[in-house]
Amino acid sequence: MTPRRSFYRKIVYAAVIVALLVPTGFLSLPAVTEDTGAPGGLRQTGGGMIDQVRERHGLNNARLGDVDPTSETIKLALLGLRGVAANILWSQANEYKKKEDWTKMIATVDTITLLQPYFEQVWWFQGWNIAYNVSVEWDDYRDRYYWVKQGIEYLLRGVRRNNDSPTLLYWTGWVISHKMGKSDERTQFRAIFRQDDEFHDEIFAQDQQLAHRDSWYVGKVYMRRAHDVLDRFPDRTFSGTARSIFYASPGLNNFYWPIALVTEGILSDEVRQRWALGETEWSGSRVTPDRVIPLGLRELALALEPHIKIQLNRREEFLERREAAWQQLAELAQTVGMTIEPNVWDLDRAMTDRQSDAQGIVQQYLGDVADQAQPILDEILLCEHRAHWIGQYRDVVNFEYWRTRTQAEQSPDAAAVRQRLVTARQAHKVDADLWTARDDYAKTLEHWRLILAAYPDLQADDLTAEDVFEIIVDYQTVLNQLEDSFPPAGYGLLSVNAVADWEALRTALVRHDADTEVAAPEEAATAGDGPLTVLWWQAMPESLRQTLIAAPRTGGLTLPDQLAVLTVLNEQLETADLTRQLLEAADDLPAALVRRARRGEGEELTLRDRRLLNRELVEAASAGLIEPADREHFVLRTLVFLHPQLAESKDLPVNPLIERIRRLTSPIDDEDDQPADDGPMSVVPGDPDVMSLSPND
Amino acid sequence: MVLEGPQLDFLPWLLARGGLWLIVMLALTLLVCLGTWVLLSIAYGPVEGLRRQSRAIGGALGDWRQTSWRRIMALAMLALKESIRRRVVVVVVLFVIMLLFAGWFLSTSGRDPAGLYLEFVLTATTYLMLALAVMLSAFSLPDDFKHRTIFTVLSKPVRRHELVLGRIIGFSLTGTVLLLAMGLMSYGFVMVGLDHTHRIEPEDVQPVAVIDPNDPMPVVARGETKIEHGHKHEIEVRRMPDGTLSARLGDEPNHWHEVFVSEIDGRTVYEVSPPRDMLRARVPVYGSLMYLNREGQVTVDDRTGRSKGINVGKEWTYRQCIEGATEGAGIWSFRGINRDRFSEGLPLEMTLGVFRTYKGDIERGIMGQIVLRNPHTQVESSPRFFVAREYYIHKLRLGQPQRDANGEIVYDTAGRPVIVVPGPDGPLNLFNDLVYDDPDLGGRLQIIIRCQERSQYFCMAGPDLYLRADDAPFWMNFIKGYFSIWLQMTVVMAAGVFWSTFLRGPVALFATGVTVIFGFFTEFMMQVATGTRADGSELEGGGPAESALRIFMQKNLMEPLEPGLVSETVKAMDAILNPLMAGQALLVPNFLVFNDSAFVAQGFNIPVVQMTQHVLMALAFIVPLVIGAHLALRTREVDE
Repeated sequence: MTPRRSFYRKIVYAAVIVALLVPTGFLSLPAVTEDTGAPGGLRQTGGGMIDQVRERHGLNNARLGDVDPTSETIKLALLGLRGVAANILWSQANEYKKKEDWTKMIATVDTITLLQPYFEQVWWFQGWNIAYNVSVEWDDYRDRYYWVKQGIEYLLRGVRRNNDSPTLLYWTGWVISHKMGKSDERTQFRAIFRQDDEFHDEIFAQDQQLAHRDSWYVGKVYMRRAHDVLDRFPDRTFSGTARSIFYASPGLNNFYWPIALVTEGILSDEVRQRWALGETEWSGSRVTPDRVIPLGLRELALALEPHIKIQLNRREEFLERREAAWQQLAELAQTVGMTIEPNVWDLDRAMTDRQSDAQGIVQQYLGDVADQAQPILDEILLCEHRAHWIGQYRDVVNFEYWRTRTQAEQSPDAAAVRQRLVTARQAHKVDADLWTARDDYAKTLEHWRLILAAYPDLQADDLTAEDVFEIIVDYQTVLNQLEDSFPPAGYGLLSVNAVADWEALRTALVRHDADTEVAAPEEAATAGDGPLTVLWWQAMPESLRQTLIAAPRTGGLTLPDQLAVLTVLNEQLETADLTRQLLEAADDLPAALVRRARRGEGEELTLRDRRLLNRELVEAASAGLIEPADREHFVLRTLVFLHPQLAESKDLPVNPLIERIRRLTSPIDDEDDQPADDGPMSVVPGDPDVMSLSPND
Repeated sequence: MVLEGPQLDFLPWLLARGGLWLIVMLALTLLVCLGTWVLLSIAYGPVEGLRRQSRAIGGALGDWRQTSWRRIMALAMLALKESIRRRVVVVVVLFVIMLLFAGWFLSTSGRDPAGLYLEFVLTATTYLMLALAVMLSAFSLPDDFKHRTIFTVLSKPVRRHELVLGRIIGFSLTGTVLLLAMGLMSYGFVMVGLDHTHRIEPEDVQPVAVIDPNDPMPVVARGETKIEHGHKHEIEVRRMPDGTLSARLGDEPNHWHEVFVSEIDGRTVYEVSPPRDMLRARVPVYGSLMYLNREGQVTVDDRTGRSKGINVGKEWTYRQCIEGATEGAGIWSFRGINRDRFSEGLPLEMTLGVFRTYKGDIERGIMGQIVLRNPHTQVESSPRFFVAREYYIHKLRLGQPQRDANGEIVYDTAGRPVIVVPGPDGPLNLFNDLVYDDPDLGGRLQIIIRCQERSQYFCMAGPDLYLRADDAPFWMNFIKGYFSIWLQMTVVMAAGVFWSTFLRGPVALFATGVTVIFGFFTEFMMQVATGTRADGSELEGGGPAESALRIFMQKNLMEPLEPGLVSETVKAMDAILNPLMAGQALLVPNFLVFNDSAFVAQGFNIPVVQMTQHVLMALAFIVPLVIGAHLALRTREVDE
């Protein structure tokens, strides 16, 4: 080969290289990147074909998230073998975990994400792995916290590398909320979390400004950010859980937050405020001065949007619309001489079958006005359908329970439960003052009963049952230590069924009102015409008096009215004043009782003893208005049996917790079966707040 | 640190391993002799064959008698020049590039950054050096044959084995120089990478509420540094007897800092030293561990023949557990405990695993006790209680100098302080009462660990508890770590030269590469060949043929093969292949055993015994390789 030929060949090579460079360069021309300022707001314009295709599919590095030079270098250095490398590292990380070499394990999972920074599942899995699996390998709760934090930081790195991936944001929020707030170490975790300056000032501050240092709140903020990202970039995807849960989670955090606060002993108005916030966010939108923050149900609605245009809080609206349509249909039918009862058609069938079936029904029955009836029928079907599906989705997130609970938690009784429970636990577990603890537990349960009566939706709920059960167990422990039986006989307070005849009681009370004419003078001689009803009447607030007076016009006393009356009567039962005044004023009391009461006058009685004594006095002085204590259901048992009875009446599977409660109380059941009075499971007729369904049926 | 597998003393190790080596060598020699004789017999008839064979062996031995170190060194220099011509410096350049970018990957924020850094430099060096050794050694001789440059050498009065030795020594000289350079750079890299200090602002330190009046150096202020370099320290300021202030930053994570306190213009200024004790080489004295079950008896693992504890359900059976508030205990038996070595008491370090069967009090750790016992007289010290913190090293000093009524330290006749520990009936003299002076084994002592809480468990392995006899200089340990790399490199070079005496360049490269790769998997190969794991349990999945079938059929390890012709065939094949594989595993050096980087990284001194073992192991491979290479080169037809 001559040198000249070799030279020519080189020239040809160079020419070919240049010739190839031009189209290649044109194809892979880099784009101009603009920063729009928002997260994920980097936009690329221009560029070669390859870049445009990338941009179209959202695969530009700048679009995917922060670009890490380390990661890019390592990927280049591996010459396309990063899949293999990642696999090897993955099994190495598992090996290190097995052999408890945590430093190397973390280093290895970090390297995996350098190799595959845009593989969300890796971030998610390993973040969870560190926070949940590695943390529990350590014995000390402070070490466990450290690893939970490592897991969260890992997830946050993933968030930054993946341009605010909704999936990673959501799971970050999840770990912050649930690992911190629901693990066994939650009290300790949340306490450290609150004081963890590093976390709040350095790590979270990179992402957002936080108003509170509470784990449930911070978790909520991250979950919400996941929603925001999805709102702004609808082409992003979220994976990992049902949409309804994804959108409901921040709302649920609103509830777990005050619940956690209470268990941590915070009783201030903050708790009520949190519940109030929870309620607004759960049931609607909240407007702040500068902008409307879309909250709660709007998000749930978004979740369902692709399938059916409904919002969870609109079920009632659809039900109303359906009723109205029925009404319209009935009127229309009347014009052709037909009567329509709402249940005349098997609507379920019509709903699930083809539309033509419904058409057929209309044709068959309303042939003449079928054209007019059709839109009405459509409306009925539509409303039925939506109400049905909203109901289904509501069940998924336990919508109605939480709605009721937020209301219940804001009631004064709930505040009382919280207050009492803390003093009870303090007396029981810290001060070892069993008598106070006993009284306070009993009162807590009484308040619970009032709450359950006022919000019947809570009765069949597991979470409530669990809360109540815990109190019952503590109460039982205290009673055992005091060698009292459980449930205690004759607890003293008046419950709804302690009043033999509500109308008689009402009349007896109202008689004392100065402005009212005596309704039935002939009854006055027979019942309650004593000092007792005077005392009671005097103790009533004006509003309640008015309610009592107005009762005949408004259709009798409702259950809440009765409960309000009982609250006043029960408050009286705990005062020494009542003892004194009854002893002074009542003259037909049994001598033995009077002697006992006088003996007790000088002494400091416990609340319970005071109640029992007063109860006896009241019974004696009430002339049959109040049933004797032994004829009455103990408040606790009423409370306990609310659950199984409701469960059975609703054909729900038997709740294991209820089984436990049953077992807990069963020895007493046997005893109670001996006397002739009502067994624990059968219910006094007319008891309004207990369903008359006996398991013996 | 984790030391898996039985820890043998030098002599038992030598007997076990040396014996095995001798058997393998003998078998190999016989095999080679028989093979060559058969070949020669076919060509020349059995008698003539034997004569020729013995003549060849005689010739080979004759070569060795006429060994000239001058010639070997001259050849070594030649090899050195050759390797320089081959631009081996590229490896160093590569290494520099790696170091330049390593800082990006290595995080200093973990609990043990020193470990990560050291592990990285040592691993990177190992891989680079092994790769270099493979390339360098495999091509040298074949290239000489190819380019016929070998004749210029062979025309000189050079023996063939000198040629082999010259190459190996020459290349390892090259390697040594490179390794030195890389070692120096690594050392600098680690030092610079880990060096840091902390800023302390006056507001970081708060005076303590109560100052202990009895303490001669009371703590007067405490605080916490800000997070810098991924961690923070606790600050403790003490007032010295002379009124000056002295401070230090606490021991977590894994190092501490000295703090110089001074007053400048009425402001307290804190100056923090570089990290201390970050790079260590602890010299541990290990004991042998025996577990007692809840009845106080020793249960023996049938597979390993060693005492076993309770398995709480972990896949990794390294640490086994003892039950709390029962007779269950972990007993470490130590030897060689004497006054000279532990003149100030026993500096104990331990890491215990904790396993709770119920949560108990979350905020409190599980309590345990330490008892010292004389293995001969069974005299026990009073228990010393501690609260276990998992994965942390507990540092305790057992025993302290006895003081008389005036508070003065009591000395024995040799002028050493008398060390006492509390006993049930007054103080016990550590060395007189608790250490049994065994005439054969030196001072023997038992340390007993028990868990104090019902239904809670402590988990432990032998190396989890040791007496920290001393600290060796870190740089020394670092050098030892690099020496183990050097040994591996030399073995690979010997293997490369061996293969290249009778294989062409690329093939020799392949063979050497495979040797190295096999070297990282010898344990696994042995496990597959014998069907048992290191802990004696069964290894599922069968031998090489069955494994191949499983991969092909996409069946996992646990799935039984369908009985039939195919499974019978693979089992029969495995019956042949397994011994072959075991033989291979025996013939290939186990590079994982050579690797001492874990010791350096985790701050433990590499014991001299272990280094000696490694040197012997390296020789055990190099010597046969040199002989083999010599013989192979002798039989090679070189046109003279």
